[in-house]
Amino acid sequence: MEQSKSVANMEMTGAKKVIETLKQLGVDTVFGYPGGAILPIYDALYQSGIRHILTRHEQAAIHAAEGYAKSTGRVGTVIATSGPGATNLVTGIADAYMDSVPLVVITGQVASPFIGTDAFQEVDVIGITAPVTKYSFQARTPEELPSLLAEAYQIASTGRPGPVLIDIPKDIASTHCMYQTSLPATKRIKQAISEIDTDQMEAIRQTISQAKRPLLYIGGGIVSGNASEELLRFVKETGIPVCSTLMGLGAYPPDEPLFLGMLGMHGTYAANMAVYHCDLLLAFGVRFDDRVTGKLERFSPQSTKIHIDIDPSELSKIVPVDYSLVCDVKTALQALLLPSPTPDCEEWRMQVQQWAQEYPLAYDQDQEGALKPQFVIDLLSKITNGNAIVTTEVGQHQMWAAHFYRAKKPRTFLTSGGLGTMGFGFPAAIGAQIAKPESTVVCIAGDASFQMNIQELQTIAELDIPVKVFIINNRFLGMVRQWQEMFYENRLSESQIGGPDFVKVAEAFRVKGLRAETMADAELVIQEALAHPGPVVVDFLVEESENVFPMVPPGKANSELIMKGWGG
Amino acid sequence: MNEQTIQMMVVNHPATFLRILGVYSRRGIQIDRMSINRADQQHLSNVRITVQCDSSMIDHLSKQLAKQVDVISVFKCSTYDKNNV
Repeated sequence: MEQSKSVANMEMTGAKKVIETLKQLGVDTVFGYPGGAILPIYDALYQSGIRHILTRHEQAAIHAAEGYAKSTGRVGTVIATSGPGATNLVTGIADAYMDSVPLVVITGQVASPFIGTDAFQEVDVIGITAPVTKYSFQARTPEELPSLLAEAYQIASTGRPGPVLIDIPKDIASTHCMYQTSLPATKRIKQAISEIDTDQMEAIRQTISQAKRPLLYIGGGIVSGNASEELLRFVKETGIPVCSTLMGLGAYPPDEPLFLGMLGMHGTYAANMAVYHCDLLLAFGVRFDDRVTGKLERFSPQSTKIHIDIDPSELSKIVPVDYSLVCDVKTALQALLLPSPTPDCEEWRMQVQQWAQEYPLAYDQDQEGALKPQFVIDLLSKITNGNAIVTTEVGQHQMWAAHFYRAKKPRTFLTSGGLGTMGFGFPAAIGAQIAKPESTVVCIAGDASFQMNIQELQTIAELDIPVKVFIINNRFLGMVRQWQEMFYENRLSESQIGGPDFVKVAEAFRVKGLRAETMADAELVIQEALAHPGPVVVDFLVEESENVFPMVPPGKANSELIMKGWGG
Repeated sequence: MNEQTIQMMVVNHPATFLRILGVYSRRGIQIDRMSINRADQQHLSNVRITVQCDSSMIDHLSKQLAKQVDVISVFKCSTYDKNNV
């Protein structure tokens, strides 16, 4: 009662209150695309002080919001209209759900009396997105809008992060209503349990101390849990070698001697041999994805497994584990460091380092020959010293980026891991650049992936967003072709894919376009692109038949990886 | 394959069962029996869902259900146990 006296009331529309609440929640940037049912919100957004990034397709808006969220750890916000606006977001929502990206998605909806009547631009967006959202709300009254928004941001960003959708019918946004000026308290939030069972922790410490061949298998949980520093200390103090999933790249410094690189289907020899032969697997912030495990029955067959994850439903979901903690990895590592267990594993360290030296990631770049895709990415990594923010599209170039771009810091290697969304990388780079205007942001793209959201050239041109797009152009859906060569008797069904003259396309959008066809070109062009203050598209015409190795073929164990080219 | 029952307390609103039933349908589990009863408190309901599946699947389902924002509590109770009470 005391409080309500001091709280001022003010009359405004629901839409105006949405924008006011966003500001109170600290939202300064949103990505979106206007349309009929969301008009009241866009009207309230006008000159509101919140920066709105207008993309050229709703899918790009949501991937940009993902890039913003992944590069900062903050919640990304996206706004779209009802019907097709909402359905165009679905791929991005699913992508964010799979990779645990915190997003709040605001969709317009037809006016309440028309919901369920097949009205113009009406879809049941709550129904369509339920399986791929952490939670969703449909506003029923204008009064509840502030509390729904506050809850949405809290749900999206706490526990295992994920996308939350708020559907706002047009009449709810247009209605005038009396609002309190203060931000409402949130309710019905499930907090993740971060209380550590000390007996369990002691058992884990004992198990680590006794291990002879321990291995850390780290993933996206280290990045989203901001646990990189603790991880580095833990490795320094225990001497346990580290391998990472695709989502964990950047969480551990790649130049540290105990880092074995990525494991799994296109993982390094050392990482895959280590995971197969270890006697203790420390699975921290990971989910035993099928691209990591290979044949499940033969995944890390000799190891005791310790799994730490914030999401209890991940524990023993795929692989039964011996010890588990439901906890954010940072808290768990802090507890494990008091004091660190010290396993006697010198022999094992020598063994894994020998594997790493014997079979490093490699490629053959002939001085006079065609440009190799790996060389381009390796060169980018060297020139930027791994300090740029890199986004990728999906396919062969993504795996080469994982191999040869040595991201030094967390939140600087942004890729679509779980859903594998072609079209993610370019808009994600836009979002990352908006969040980090001082950083160099490079999208490593494939020629086919880039064509999936190529219209965003207009966005970067108009807003002068200095993203650099490096197209690894092999004139193929390279990963599809690789599988056709290896597993479909070389029947290249629809995998040869044409593209435009990317330099001319860029220039038509008033974006600088460059091309490289040789080693010498590549170095000059990378330097020129990175030095240019505005956006650049670079078309690297690379060897078209190159394939990604090592490879653990589907249905095989991690130890059965293929090292060299197929059939050669 | 055994008859397995999960009992839950949920916040009941129009989209609650869209999410709860989605946990079952995604795993290809058919629902044999289901009851929903409004609890004394407003918006809360008691739910019982009975299916045929093995014990590892019911563990997985109950973890997935417990994770739902609208689910307040989850209890596994097999029909066998109930008959013994």
